[in-house]
Amino acid sequence: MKYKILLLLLLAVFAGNAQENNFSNATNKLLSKTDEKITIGGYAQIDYNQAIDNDTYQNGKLDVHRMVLLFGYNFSDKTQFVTELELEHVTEVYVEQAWINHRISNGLNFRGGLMLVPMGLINEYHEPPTFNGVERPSVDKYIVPTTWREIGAGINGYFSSTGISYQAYLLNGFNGYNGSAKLGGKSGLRSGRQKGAESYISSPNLALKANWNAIPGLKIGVSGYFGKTQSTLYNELNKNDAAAKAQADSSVVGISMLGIDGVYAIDNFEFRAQYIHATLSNTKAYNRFTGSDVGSALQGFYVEGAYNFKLKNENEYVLSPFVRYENYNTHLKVDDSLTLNDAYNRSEITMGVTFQLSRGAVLKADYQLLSNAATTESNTQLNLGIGIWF
Amino acid sequence: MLAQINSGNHSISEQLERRIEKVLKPLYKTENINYEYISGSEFTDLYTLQKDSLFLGYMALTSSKGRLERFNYVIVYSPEACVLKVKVIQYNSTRGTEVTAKRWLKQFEGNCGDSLIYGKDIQALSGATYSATSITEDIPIVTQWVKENTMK
Repeated sequence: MKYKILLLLLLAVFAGNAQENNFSNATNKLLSKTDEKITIGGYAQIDYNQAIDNDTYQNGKLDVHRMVLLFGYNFSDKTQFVTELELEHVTEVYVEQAWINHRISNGLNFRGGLMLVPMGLINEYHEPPTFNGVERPSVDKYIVPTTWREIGAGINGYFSSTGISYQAYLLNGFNGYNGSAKLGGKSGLRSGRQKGAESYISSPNLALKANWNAIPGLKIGVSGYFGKTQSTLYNELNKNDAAAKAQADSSVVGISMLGIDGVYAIDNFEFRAQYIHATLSNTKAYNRFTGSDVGSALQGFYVEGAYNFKLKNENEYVLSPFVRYENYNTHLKVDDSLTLNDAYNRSEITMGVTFQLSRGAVLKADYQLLSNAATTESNTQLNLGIGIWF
Repeated sequence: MLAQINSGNHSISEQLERRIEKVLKPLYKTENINYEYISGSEFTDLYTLQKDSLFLGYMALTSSKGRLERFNYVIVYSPEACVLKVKVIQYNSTRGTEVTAKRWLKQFEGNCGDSLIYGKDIQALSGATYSATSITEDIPIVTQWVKENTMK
């Protein structure tokens, strides 16, 4: 009973304090941010892909490609946690991001956890309403393996006076070998993503990106990624066992990836371009040891132009026809034990429209001409999609 | 930790006071500018700006919504209630930070309450679409409100 009274008294004191602070005005309410500790967001992409063939019937594919829920929590105005939980193709569950960010100053933040690798345009900004086309550009699938994320830590910042932002992270790398080859000629590094799921590490990788808002409307980005793939053969390897060490060394490749990207919006026009080049080292030893056919250089680029017809206003009923040309080649170069596979030198022309119903909700339609250097024939595909983010 | 500035209830934290000082000092090239609360709405507080007995104009402390969170900024107005300066003073979200870019915010200077079209009157801002669209919509609304509250 005594404790109850004490508790009530304490409550009364706290309540009194709260009352006292209630007089503060809107500004202080805003800056205290007590009402916005938790943030909820999300994005989703629902697709219909229909291959078109003159001679044969082709079934279409209908897919809830991605449904992602974002949750954020502000511990203070300096410390924040953000996570994205993803359902892919309805049945696969992933954690797409889960990191903590601590602001020391605007120009210097610490970030750690499961993070997106800052490379090119799409990997970090991959929500469907932010790009044209039902599917993400193929350069951002086969060269930059979007959504590319690993566990790590590092720093980032933004300088409002110059419009320059930077990110520098030490991250876990690709799983290159865990009993069999994970890297290959056709999809390059894509199958090696560990995604923070019981991932293992034998050597950390460095990811860097700088963006510059050079003039209003123009954003230029430069990205770099350097390191080695991971191999399970290093685990419990005797440091004096030269033969085993040599074998383990044959199961990794070195990666140096560089990217340049730009977005330019002027009046109702919007242009995007991206160039990514990756040099892989030690591929001869890797391919000989694993029997894989991974290339020693990968490259991809695209250019895209769009025009925004603002049928109602800048948010509602914006119709944006666009066209994109991309080329991506996972066999730009190969070591001398392999022959170049021209089928991996692929080009795509995507023509379509994005129709924004409201800010964050779009309907998409496009038509793709898909070709590769091994044949003169090209495939065609029709895509329809719904994209949202909030 | 609240420093009382001018009028009774409308206190401003020392941290906010320092950030405001950083906006006003270079703009007017003088120190010790007094601000006095005159009016408030849900998201905006309006102050008069004065150096000694000289009336300089107005200052609004307000906020807009990014994709996930609100961010706070200060708008400094001329005596005619036209925008002299916009500065974001608190941006918590880790995305869309580009909206704090000084060069981009310069585009709002001279606005006297006419509505602005994002992507036409104000250049688009890649990577900060939500925040940039919001602030483009909000600044003319706040400016209109400032006009109504001052031109009596």
